[in-house]
Parts: sequence; C-alpha cells; structure tokens
Amino acid sequence: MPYQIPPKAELIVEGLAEAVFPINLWIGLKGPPANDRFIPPLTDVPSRLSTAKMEVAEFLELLIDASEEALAHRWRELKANPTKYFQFRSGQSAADWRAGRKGLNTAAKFGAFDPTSNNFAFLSGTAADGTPKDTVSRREFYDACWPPLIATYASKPPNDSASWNTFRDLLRGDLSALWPPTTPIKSSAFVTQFTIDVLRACLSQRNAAIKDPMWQRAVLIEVGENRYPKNAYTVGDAKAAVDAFLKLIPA
Amino acid sequence: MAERHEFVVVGSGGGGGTIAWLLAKAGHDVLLLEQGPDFAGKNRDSSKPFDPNVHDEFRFRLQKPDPKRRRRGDYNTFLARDTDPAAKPFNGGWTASVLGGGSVLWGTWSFRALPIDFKLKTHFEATGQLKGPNGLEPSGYSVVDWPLQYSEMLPYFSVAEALLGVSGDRAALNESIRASDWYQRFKGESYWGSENEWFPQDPYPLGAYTRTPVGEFCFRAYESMGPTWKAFPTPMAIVQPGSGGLSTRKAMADSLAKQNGGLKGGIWDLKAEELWSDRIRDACNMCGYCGEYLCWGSTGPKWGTQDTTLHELAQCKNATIRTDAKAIEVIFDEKSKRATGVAYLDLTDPDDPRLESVDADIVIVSCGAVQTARLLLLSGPSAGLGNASDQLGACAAFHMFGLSVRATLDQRFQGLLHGELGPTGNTSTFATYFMKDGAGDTWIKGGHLTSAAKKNPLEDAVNSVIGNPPKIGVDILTGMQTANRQLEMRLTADDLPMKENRVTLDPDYVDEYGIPVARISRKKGSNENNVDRVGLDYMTKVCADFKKKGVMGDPLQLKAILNLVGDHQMGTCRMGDDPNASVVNRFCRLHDAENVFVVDSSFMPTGLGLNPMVTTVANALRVGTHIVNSLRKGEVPGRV
Repeated sequence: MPYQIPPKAELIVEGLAEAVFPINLWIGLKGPPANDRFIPPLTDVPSRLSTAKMEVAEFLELLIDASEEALAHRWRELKANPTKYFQFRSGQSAADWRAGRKGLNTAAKFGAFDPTSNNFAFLSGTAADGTPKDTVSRREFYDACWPPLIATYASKPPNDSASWNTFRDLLRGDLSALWPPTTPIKSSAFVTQFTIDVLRACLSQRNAAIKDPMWQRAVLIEVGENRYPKNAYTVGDAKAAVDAFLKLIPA
Repeated sequence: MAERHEFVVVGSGGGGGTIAWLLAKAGHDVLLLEQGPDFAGKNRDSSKPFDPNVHDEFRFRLQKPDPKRRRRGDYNTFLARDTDPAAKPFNGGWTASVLGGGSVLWGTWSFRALPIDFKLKTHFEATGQLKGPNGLEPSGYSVVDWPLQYSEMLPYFSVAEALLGVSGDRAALNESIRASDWYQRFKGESYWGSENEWFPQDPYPLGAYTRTPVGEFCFRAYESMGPTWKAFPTPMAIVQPGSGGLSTRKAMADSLAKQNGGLKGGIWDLKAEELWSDRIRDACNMCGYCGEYLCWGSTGPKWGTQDTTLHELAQCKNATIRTDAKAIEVIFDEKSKRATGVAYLDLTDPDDPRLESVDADIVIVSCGAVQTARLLLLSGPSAGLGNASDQLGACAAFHMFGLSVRATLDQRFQGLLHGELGPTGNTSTFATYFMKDGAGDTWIKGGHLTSAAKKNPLEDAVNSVIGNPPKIGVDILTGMQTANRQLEMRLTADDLPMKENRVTLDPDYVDEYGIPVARISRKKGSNENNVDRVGLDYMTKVCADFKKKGVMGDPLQLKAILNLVGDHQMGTCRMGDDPNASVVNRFCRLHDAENVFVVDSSFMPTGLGLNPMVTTVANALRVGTHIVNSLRKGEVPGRV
C-alpha cells in the first residue's frame, strides 16, 4: 500500500515547505533570471514558481515508499549478530577464524549502521543531549514526527508568511511545548531533514511528481544553474562564455 | 573439478583492467574479478550514444549507501592518529566498487609522474631536509627513491596516454615546468634527470580541452604572478570536444611508432589492428557531469576501463570478466610459498552470498591501495600475505585533498562563470610543484595547481542546510546564487609517507559478511602542516591581482581535510629492492610469494603531486610486459 502522509499533516507540509525554501518570496526579491544563451527563452520558463507547485508532499510520499526498510531490518540484525553471514574457505567459525588472525579481537562489530558512520540514508534519531542515538528508516523518522507536528500546528495555526516563519523557527529551535522530549526525533532534526527532502524535490530534477520537464529545471534556472539531463555544449558555446566573461575583466 | 585459469586478476580499474587486457592480448587465459556490479550496464542504455539517465546528482553525489563507491554493507574505519581515542566507521576511503573501478569515477587529470618523484630521498638528502633535528626522518617520515629508473617508465607513459586518449598541450605543460622557480633552482643537480625525461616532445593524442570561463580566470591569475608562473590546459583523459572522436588503435600505433624500438617483443610486436578494435570514442559533448558521475557516452568520451579497455577485453575468447565477485582471500600454500587461487563471494544476490574459489597459476591484485592491503592481510599467514617484514599497509598516502582557495566573484559576474561547461578541472600550473618556505632556500614538495568549477547545486544546497551556521529560507537560495559565481583553485599536494600512516585490518569492525574491514590510520605531520600553510599563502597571492581589480574579495582558505581519503590512494604495498623494507619488488611481485603481483597505485614508494592514474596504467603495462616476455623466454616472471 503506497505511503500516505496523514491528511492533517499534508497541509502543514505544503506551508512548511514554502517557509524553509521560499521560492516565490525569493523570486519577488531578485527579479527574473538574466537572459542567457544557455537557458530556454524566458517565455518558456515558468515565471511564478512556488514551493507548493513542486509537489513536495507527493514527492515525500514517493521517497518514503522507496525507503530501504528491508535493508534496515537486515542491518539491525547484523548489529546484534555481526558475523551471522560469515563464511570462509577454511570452514572455520568466525570466532575460530578470528582467533587465528593477528591483531583481531574476539568480538566483532558491524559499523555500517552506526549513526556516525554516514553510510546509511536512514536518519539519525537523537538522544536528549543531542548526540545521535540510533539509526532509523525514513518511514520511521517521519511517522514519529507527524503527531507532534500536527499538535504544534493545531495549537496556533500559521496563516501568513510571517507566521509560517515563526512556526518554522519554533520547530528549528526545539521550542514547541507540544513536541514531547520523549519523541525519538527532535523538532530541529525534523526541520533539517524535511528541508533536505524539499531541496531534493525542487532541485534534483528527478521529482516524479512533477510531469513537465521544464518545471524540473525551473528553480535551477532561477539560480543561474544550467545543468540538466540531456544538456550538451559546444566549443563555440565555451568560447562565447569566455568572451562574455572577459568583457567584465578590467585590463 | 575446480575452475582454473592462468591468471586471475582481482580488480578492474586502471591497473587491473589494463594488465588483464595486455595478458589476454598476449594469448593468456585470464579471469578478471570485480567486486562491484556492472554499474554502467545496469544504469545506462548503451544502445544510445548518450544516455541522460546518468545525469543524476542525487544518485552520484548524495545517495546512501553509496551505490558506486562501495559494496552494500562494506565500509572502512578511520583513526586520526594522536587525536582520536578509537577508530570509527566512516564513509570514506573508497575509489569505486563498480566494473572499471576508480577509472570510471575520476576527474581525468592525466599527468605523468615527474622525474623528481622517483628521487625524493636523494633530493631531500641533497637539500639537507632529510636528516638533522627537524629533518623528515626524525619527524617520522619514510622517504625513499623508487627502485626504477625514470627512463624505464617512459615508453609506457606514452602508451598509457594513448590508451587514455589524453587531450592536452604538451609544449605548454613543459614550459610551465621549465619556467618555474623550483625547476630553475634545482635543474643542475646531478640526480635531476635528463631533458628528455623532463620534457617529452611527443604531442598528446588530442589537442587541448576547450578553455572555460573558470579556466580563463585561473589562466590569468597564474600568469599575473610573473614569468615563472606559466599556465597550461589541464591534460585530460577526455576526447577533445569538436575533435570528431578518437581511434585508440591509431593513437597506440602512433605511440609505438615514435618509440624507436623502445618497446619490443610480446604484444608490442602485434599489428595495430590486432591490438585494438576500430571502435571510435566519441568526442566529449561538455555536458559537465564528470568526476564522480558515469560518463553518459557509451563509447567512453571520458576514459575509464569500463567503456574502453574492458570493452576490448570482452572481445577476447581467452578472457572472462566476472562482476559481483568480491575476493576475500588469496589462497596461499605455505609449503610451496605460492598462491594457488582466489576465494570470493558471489554477490549477485547480496542477500544470499555464495562462497566460490578459482585456481590460478598467477594472481594479480589491483583493488586500490586500501582494499589491496585488506585482501592481503586477510590471506596467507596470520599476519597477512606479503607481510613478513610488517610493511604491508604502511606508508599509505592519499594527497592533501581539500587544500584549496575558494574565490567568490563580484555580483557583476552572476551567471557568467558557467561551471556547467565540461569537466571540473580546466587550467593548471606546475609553479607550485615545489614551494619556497620562507626567505631562505627551503623548498617543500607541493603539487600542481588546477582550476575547479562548482558543479553540484543540489549537493551545495544540502550542505548549506547542515553547515555552520545552518541556512534556512531565503538564505539557501541566495547562497545558491552566490555559489554560482564561485570557483576554486586546488593544490594536488603530496603527503609524504609515514610508516604509521597505514592500512590495517580493523580489530573489531566487520562488513555485512563478517569479514574484517580496513582501518585507515592517518595524521598530518610537520611537512603536511607546512604544505597547508605555504600552499594557502601561494594560492592567496595568486588571487591578489583579481582582488586588486575589484573582481573578488579575499579568497576563502581551506586546509587539507585529514579524513578526505580515497580517490588517490598510494603506498601500502611499497615497491623496493629490500624485502625487509618493502612489500613488492621492482616487478611488483610480492617478496613473500613467487606468483602474486600488485599493480594498482599501492606499489608507489612515495606519492606524487599529481593524479596517479597515468602512472598506474603505465606501470601495469610495464609489469604485464615483463610477465609476458618472461613466460615467452621460459623464465619465472617477477624474479629479479
């Protein structure tokens, strides 16, 4: 069954996405992108982007669906029994084989699932003192966060840009009284991971929830980045770029 | 009956892929084992000349577990010597674990080792830097000369450049060396090497890669330093854009024709059409997804063995390429002191590994300096195969990655740097290969300096969210805009070998299959601290002219990152004549085992101030030629 964000959280996701990555606000501040030979005519570029239009909620659901729950299960098993799958040509047990090799301790550990190892996509929970405590799956991470997120929102629902920013900063600062300290994920860790997933929705050009390829590229065009799948350039393009660059270099 | 081959080669990168091809072309029966999958085959539609499916920043830069660097459930541990109380699992220390190995995922900066790289001990003895109270040896360094003469490598460098299809400007590169302060200072020394060695005259197979705005900036910055700083196009193993493609067959024929008989016998007597197919490598289309990305061109516009050498190997009836085959033991017979084969895990289904073994007359290991040391430590006697002298894993070197300055150009340059054009590097100088430290006559080993374009907007944005201070809201977007007018200059600086900078088996941690992982122990010594300090001073001065002109402010200075290790792994199986002080002999054969060779960059007795790939490929050609010629003469290969 495809993952579904709880309906009460879906609205929050859309509003919070705009608060952590406010494309619309920023475009208003900076104006349109400079016309450039490497980007499509500006008439073809979506001129009024917003984070909501990047289908963040649907993207997040697809992302959680694609999480490697089975691998997390296997690696948890290995954390408990690191040499479960050991086999060597000598036919020895792991303990006997280790005893015969110079410099190895008797007990073995499996470290790829350690929160500090940075080897796993799944996200670290945090202990009360802020240190990484455990490694969890993306699904487990978000499932732990939805109830306190909904409760915090319900206590004072934001209704404009400024109040959404206040809501965001409340979570970022771990200041919500309705986010219990017993929740395995702190609200600040939630905002950080949520922001990273929003960036992936808006910048990765692999957001399957967005159907129009131009929209996949749109935010990158606004920040002046011209890399996109299928791109290719010529020697002439490079020379023209160098010439344009040199025009601004003082003698 | 066990499967048997004349040669089993473990690892398919620049060393292993190259020697497997050479041996197969000489008519030998070869099995090539690669622990990783055929990543390109799985992710790229090779029926398309260019498949944009691999233009994927998340998959190639951010995904965890990283699908290209390491097998699922495998990892290394890292110990910052003198600092960390214990080693920790980390995500570094890998080149790649895919068919083609590290040759598939690299920036393609294609330099030959310089003659002085073979003579560092002699050099530092002559300058008085080796011994004495603050000398390198008392400070814990183990600097040695290579047991080879540079002239022995010359013909193989030329063939390696043909195999890689290097594009570049040899004359400009030569001039950058010749004009430099350090070359002028030391050129008269007796050990220095000949003009012919320092300044080869044969052009690269292809002309220089097109200059980009980032390259133009660095070209002008270097040359603003005066006549001793000469810039040149970074030589790259990428088919020159607009060139119409490259025939490797022709490039090799041209190289061999210029050798004046320097290479004779064995496969070098074959006709060009017997050596290589008529396949043409397409010209690069400057898409800008390079470095850690797969090249999207199926014929290998960016060189890696996967689309070139291994494509040729696969056509040989006497060769077999086996992926998802993770070697865990070189099987060694204590009585005969010979390897008898290789045991490996068939990881076709990673949830259901199958233990297999294959017999071999000769085993060649080429897994990268970290994983080669690990495999040998897992094999043979209790302390490891080839480790009778306790040298295996020692003297690991990784370059001083991260040592750079970052320039942020004035807002007028918004959108004008076009970092998306072509590969990361573009323009280099050799003025920094040795750097003067202070007002006296003290010179420290550095490396070449090269421009680096910003490439990965998603990764940069993610890093800004978890950075210090962390960004949120509009600040992320304005940060991305700023990154668009940033560039870097990177010093590929040498870290000198220390015996205790080494790879061992981790005493505790194991991988998914219960096999001990590699532990990397490293620290920066006094030399590396000096290189950080002097290198940053040099690079900051390089930016001074642009700062004066109001093009940029002060550059951001970034020191080398201690645990940023993996891409340029060197050492761990030091080559030398003395079995008590080295792991392999001059033919890269283990001192302790008559039929085990090592041909990745772990053989290097000292590191280089440049990318080691060309030297690794050239050395694999040298060792392979020796093996073939020895066998044809009825001699035992590897005997000195």
